[in-house]
Amino acid sequence: MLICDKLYKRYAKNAPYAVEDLTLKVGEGEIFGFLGPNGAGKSTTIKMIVSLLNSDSGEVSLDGITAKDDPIAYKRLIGYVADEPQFYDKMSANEHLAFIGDLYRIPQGERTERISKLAVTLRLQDALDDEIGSFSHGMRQKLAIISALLPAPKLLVLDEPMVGLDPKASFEVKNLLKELAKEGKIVFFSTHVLEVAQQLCTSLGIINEGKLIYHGTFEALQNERDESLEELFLELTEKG
Amino acid sequence: MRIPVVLLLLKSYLKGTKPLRSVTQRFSFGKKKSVRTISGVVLSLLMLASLMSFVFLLGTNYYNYQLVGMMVGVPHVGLLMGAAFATLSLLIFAFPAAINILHAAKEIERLRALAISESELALSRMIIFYFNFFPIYLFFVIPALIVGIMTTGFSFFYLLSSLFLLLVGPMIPISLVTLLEITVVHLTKGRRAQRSGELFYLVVMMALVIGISSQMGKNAEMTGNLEGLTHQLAPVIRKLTRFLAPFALQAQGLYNPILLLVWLAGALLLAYITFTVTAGTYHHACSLLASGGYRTKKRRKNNTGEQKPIVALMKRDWTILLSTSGFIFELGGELLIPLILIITYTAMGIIGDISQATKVLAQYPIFEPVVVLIVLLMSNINLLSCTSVSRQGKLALHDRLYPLEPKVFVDAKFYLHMALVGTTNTIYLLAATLILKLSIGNLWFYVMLSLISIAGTSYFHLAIDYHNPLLEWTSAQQAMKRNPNGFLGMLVSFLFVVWVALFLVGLPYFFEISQSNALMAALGMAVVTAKAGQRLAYRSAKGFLA
Repeated sequence: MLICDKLYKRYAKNAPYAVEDLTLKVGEGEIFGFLGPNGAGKSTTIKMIVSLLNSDSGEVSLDGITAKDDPIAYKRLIGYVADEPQFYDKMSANEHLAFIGDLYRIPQGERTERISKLAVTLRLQDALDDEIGSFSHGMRQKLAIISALLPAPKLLVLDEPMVGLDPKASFEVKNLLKELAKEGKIVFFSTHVLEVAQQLCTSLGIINEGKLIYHGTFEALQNERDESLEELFLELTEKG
Repeated sequence: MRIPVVLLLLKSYLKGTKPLRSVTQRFSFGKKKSVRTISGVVLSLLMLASLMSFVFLLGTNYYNYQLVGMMVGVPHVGLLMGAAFATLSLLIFAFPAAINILHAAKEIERLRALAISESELALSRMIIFYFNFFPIYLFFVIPALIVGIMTTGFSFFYLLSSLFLLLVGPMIPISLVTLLEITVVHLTKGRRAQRSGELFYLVVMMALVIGISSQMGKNAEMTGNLEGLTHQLAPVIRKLTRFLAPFALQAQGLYNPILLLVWLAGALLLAYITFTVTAGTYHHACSLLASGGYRTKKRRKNNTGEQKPIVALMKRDWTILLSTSGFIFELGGELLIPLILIITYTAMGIIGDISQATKVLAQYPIFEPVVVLIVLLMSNINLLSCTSVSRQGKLALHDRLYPLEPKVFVDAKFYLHMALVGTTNTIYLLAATLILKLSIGNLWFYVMLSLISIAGTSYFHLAIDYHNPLLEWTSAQQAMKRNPNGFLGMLVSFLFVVWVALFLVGLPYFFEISQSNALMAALGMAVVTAKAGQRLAYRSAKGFLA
């Protein structure tokens, strides 16, 4: 289980909190959608979860392991797809995946099997020998997803994963995320596309001005008021 | 063409890049404001002191040229050399940056989509290019102008013509480089334009430098007495003046209004032609580069077999080094300096003279360690490790995601450093031993000492770059040559060699300790210092990666 416990983060001493008193739990097999307007604190939270940023106070744990106590074991459990995936452009996709495989010490056989399966699923198999510098945004996004899933992480964190994907690729990614959840993995992703959240998520959190203003299922939220997710989202974030 | 639009483009460039502020910010360390201020002031003073010492050395050289010229009846040779050095330096340094500034900067794609004409955008990029290299021109010319005042006195006309030289002088090399860059982009159709252009350029520049040196060297067999010396120097100086006629014109223009107008008109005409060509071809050149850069490049199947994480990281760093021509040429230049010097001296025909001279010097016991230290200094002055994290750019932050101890990242960079610098140093040391007939028996200890010193320096360099890496850069030059970590690294390299020299040369010289004992003491101190550097590098990496 992923637990964020009373996370606080601000970027300068007197600046307002980018994330304030954020607590949430996401269990195995859940697809958690993290919603919020621009600048609400979604990316900051995600970066604290994947240990790219240290929190000012509070802690994140995954299956009882924290980044502070055992950073190596913690990082092994996490796959991360950034909002703008960046790579060393002169590497080929295969070279990049071999690099990740080596860092996570994935045996050759297992590595080859996973790469070919994921590449076929995301239709990137024909581009694996090409230089990443020649990839379109969508192809980079797909490569980032394959890289993140290659070590078979317990938690997959995605920052705006659908941006730049064509409808078919978007459909394939959604199916992939559902499959991962079925396997008992935790999927945590942020999105601006409310429809995606509605279709895919088993639970969601809405953040505004650094504070988590809703955490629960979409059904529970809708049962409170008979409104569309869009209306509920606007109402909640405007109140904040 | 709308000049206010050009000014607006320049203003937005300055606001967007803040070149001065970013340099001063990088010269401060520590979290406390007081520590940051003090470190900023100390480092700025250090930088200023080293700049001033270079200026002083340049001035001394120009002064000697000026005096020799006066001795043989050729005036203003120092000024001529100042203008020539400044122009040659710009020709060498500006070309690698030309494509990145003029046609392929990240913001250009966005600007081309706006309602800005080709000529407005071209002019703004040319001005940015000019100002990027203007300080280098000043650095080489100002000492010569001071020498001019010292030898011929000061006048209002000299002040005025000096200002023209400073402002208009850089336009000549900048225009030539711009025209060459446009030619390369068109000839290569934008495909690998930067690398092929630089390779061609490097060969031409090397040939030019060797050619000039060998031509001058043939006439440089000097005799001891002043009369004979003057007699023999005269044809060399006259040949130099003829060979560098455009710079002689610039130098004489400082005193003669007509010659001043002649070279000013020539320089401005060249700048105008360059602007016309740049503006006329701007869209096409940008378009060629964009299509050349984005064309899919199929690669052969690479070896992607299983490896240890440390090897994977070394391979990754190697890929980064080869990713841009800026990195390749910087590294190539640093590693091959001794080889370039040997080729140059051979072409100049003075390698034999050096060999003769060393026979005399070899009689002194201090000769052997001094040679070792010189070879070590040449190997140690490099930017490989002190800009290693910076070269990764923003992707360095991704290293925080990987499940590895920080020391693994440090060790990977360290081993790559040793593989490149340690190996070449050992080869050069072996070559020096054979050529200069040094003691073979001591070679093993000198190799050990050099490798340990290189290792220690590499660790200190990594500590510097992991402490405050420059991750936001748009051109390779910013990540390496213009990276303050590079300057600090060079300083550390120099100090490390001085530290070793204190034991290796200082102990026998001042305390009459035997050479073998001094060597052991130097080895011991190098090990202790390298170990301290290693600890510092691990701590610094932990701070960055944790």
